[in-house]
Amino acid sequence: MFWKGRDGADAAAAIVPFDTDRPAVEAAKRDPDAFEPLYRKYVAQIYSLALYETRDPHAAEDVTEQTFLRALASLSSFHEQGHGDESTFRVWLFTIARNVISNLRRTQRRRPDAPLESALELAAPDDPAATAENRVEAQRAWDAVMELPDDRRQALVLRFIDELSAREIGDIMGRSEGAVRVLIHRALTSVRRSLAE
Amino acid sequence: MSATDETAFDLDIHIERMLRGDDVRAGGEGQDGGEDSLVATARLLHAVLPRFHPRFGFEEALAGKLGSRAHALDDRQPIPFPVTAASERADDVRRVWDRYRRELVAGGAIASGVSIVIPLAGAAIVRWRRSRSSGTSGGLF
Repeated sequence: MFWKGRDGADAAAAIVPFDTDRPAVEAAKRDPDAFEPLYRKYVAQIYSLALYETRDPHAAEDVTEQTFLRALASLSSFHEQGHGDESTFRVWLFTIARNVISNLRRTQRRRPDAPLESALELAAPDDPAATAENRVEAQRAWDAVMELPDDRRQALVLRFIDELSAREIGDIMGRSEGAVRVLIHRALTSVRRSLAE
Repeated sequence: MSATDETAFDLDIHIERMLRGDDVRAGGEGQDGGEDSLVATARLLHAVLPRFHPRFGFEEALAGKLGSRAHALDDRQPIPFPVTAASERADDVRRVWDRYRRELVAGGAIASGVSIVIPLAGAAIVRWRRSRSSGTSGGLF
């Protein structure tokens, strides 16, 4: 869905993506009790990112909790920008999550090297049957992704697991859209190499 | 756009189509062997990497916590204006205002009473002094 900017002459050029979360965000700004639909919509996505990044279900829960508490507390300061960039609520939310993860890393001396099995112990995959069928492949893919440098892994998870666009990932990571595409290309090249070994 | 950028752009188009549910097969048009296998790797990751959902207990506990925080935030919202009888907060404000107004009225009555008494007392004193002065002068001279 799209909407046009108010400036008459520039309206056609200023067509910006419509943030599908706008009605819910506006409602939550008026009444903080109305934040729940946004929480329910994004809790699994934020938790997934946190679990891939921390490799620890307990830490992932901490990240998820802090992310949503911060988002609720500072929701009044969120302003959607309509100048061509996809400055949407979810980009803002993932940016908060990324900051929370960065802060957590600063306090962690060593990142746990958890295999997929331990991640699955406390977390519930969305599609358990499919995961069971592909458990071996999933384990190899998980290992290959976990070996990636932080920025490549993060870009890959945001693209494949959270299904954000390259532009959205760029906004979250503070990079250009093109740089994110190259990052994902390099990440996939590394994963392909690891899987071939 | 460099060759790497172009390759990355093409790959991203494949990924986008795959995420949208379009059928993306390795070995598409204009793809060399290396890019074919990258598309295949992308499809594999998309198929096998699990998406996680938090524990039900955690999700509900956090929902409750957010609810209490939201309630606390809601209590700090400014008092709506204009004041209406439908709002509890507005009733509180009106009660305080009514009490304040009664005190003002009472204070006003006292003030106006005092302002009436002072001239009356002044006039009585003047009349008393006049009567005394006329009586005295008659007695002495």
